[in-house]
Amino acid sequence: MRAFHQVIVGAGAGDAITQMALEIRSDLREVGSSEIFARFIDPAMAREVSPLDALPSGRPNDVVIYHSSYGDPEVTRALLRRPERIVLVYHNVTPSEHFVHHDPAFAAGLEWGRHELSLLRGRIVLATADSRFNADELTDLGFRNVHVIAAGLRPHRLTTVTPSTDTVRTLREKVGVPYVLNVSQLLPHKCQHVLIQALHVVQSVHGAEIGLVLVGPPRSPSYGRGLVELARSLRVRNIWFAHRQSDASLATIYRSARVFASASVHEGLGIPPLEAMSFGVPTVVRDAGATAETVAGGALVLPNGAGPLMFAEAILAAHQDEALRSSMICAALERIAELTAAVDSTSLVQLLESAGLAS
Amino acid sequence: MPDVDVDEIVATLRERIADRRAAGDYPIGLEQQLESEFQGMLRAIDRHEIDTEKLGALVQSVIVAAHEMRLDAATDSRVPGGSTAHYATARVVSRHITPLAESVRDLGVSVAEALDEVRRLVQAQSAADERQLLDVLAGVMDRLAVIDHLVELTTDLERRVTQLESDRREQ
Repeated sequence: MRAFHQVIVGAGAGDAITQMALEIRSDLREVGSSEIFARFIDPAMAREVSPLDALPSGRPNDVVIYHSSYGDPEVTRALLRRPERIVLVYHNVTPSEHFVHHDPAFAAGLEWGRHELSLLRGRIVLATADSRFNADELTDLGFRNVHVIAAGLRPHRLTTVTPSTDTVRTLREKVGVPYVLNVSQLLPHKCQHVLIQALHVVQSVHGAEIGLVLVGPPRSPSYGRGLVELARSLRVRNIWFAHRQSDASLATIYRSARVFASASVHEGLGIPPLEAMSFGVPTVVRDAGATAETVAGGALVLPNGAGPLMFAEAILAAHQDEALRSSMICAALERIAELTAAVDSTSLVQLLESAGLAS
Repeated sequence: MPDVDVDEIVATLRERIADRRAAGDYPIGLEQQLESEFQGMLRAIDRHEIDTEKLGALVQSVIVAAHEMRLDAATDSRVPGGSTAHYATARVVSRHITPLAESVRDLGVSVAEALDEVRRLVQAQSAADERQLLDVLAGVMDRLAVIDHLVELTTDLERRVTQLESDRREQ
């Protein structure tokens, strides 16, 4: 049986790339053996993902599918030594400039991630990207015939999850009012500080009783501490730093959100806005990276330079203007239906078959 | 978005911001002030660096405090003859405390000068550290370039060895 193993740098519970790899694995198992291997594994994922050094020896007609988003020299070395054909799934490597000051070690990994692509280029037999934006980046790096395919993307995956009554209780205790939601790791380029500043304006200038829920681990501890300090100094009320949440809890938080907002200045795809849209939550995003392409008319896309005032006004409009709300909800659900149909119609397995890699 | 023109919404939001600025709800420079305060917080959290700007402000406040030191006493009084008594007492007391006040003022000036020297020293050290760090980084990047080249060579060699072994097996 031919092997179609996948390699990712880090596997984490709730991590978008890990989720996509799990979805892809189900498809790949229909045509061969398929497991996921990673250099760094969150203990919560230990049953689903194996260590990279356990990747069994392969044959030249097997395929290794590599998900690129961050660089680690050990992964690069392991891939360069493999005899299998390598298929690239590019999720975007965030520009390191966003991390140089706060987390130089992480910035170095990102730099390596881009550099790694040039080292692997000669070994890659099929290059795919999960957005046109990411495909263009690969083309600029010298890759040819890059296929745009959001393999493993299931934006509505949480809509069928049973809500958590504990989370409903926690939301009532910690927030207690309609809230704006953001789901993302707490990182400088995700710009959660702009949302806190916007909420400060919404609460102090407009007197609106809207809270803020930030779901996501503080991947950059100093930025995370800065956000807590900012909320305290601006006296933003009804804010909950929810950190990492289980799927049941996250589904509950999405379901109850009044508005979803993202001020991120760089996104290679942007899954959380899609997840919010799948719950029919009016969504406000910044036009950055692939965001506009991803939401494609299903969300209110603010200009790239939008600051706290523009976000405050957009949040107020999406909260108070009922006509606008219903238009945004309809648009969101239509976009999710369109995206789901597009994802279902083209799978990675079909692409591998048409490229002669799975037949 | 169906029935909704996103450009129109953004234009409306811009108009609202302009109106609120005109009405004074959004003070001019509010966004810049919010951003600058947050960056200040991050700087303090990130590096625990000595803030030379804060040190400079402290130097200024010591200088101002030293120069504003006053010796003239208040001689107003509601008691008949009280002002005269206060005036006389002030003259006697000031004769004794003037040298002390001058010493304190001199001390203030010296403290300000010392703090300013510390501030200059910290700034110079910080600039030197930054230069040194950039030199080290340049060296690291040079070495990385060499390693990259070696990786390519090694990979190529490994491929050739594998090919040779495979050819030999076939023979």
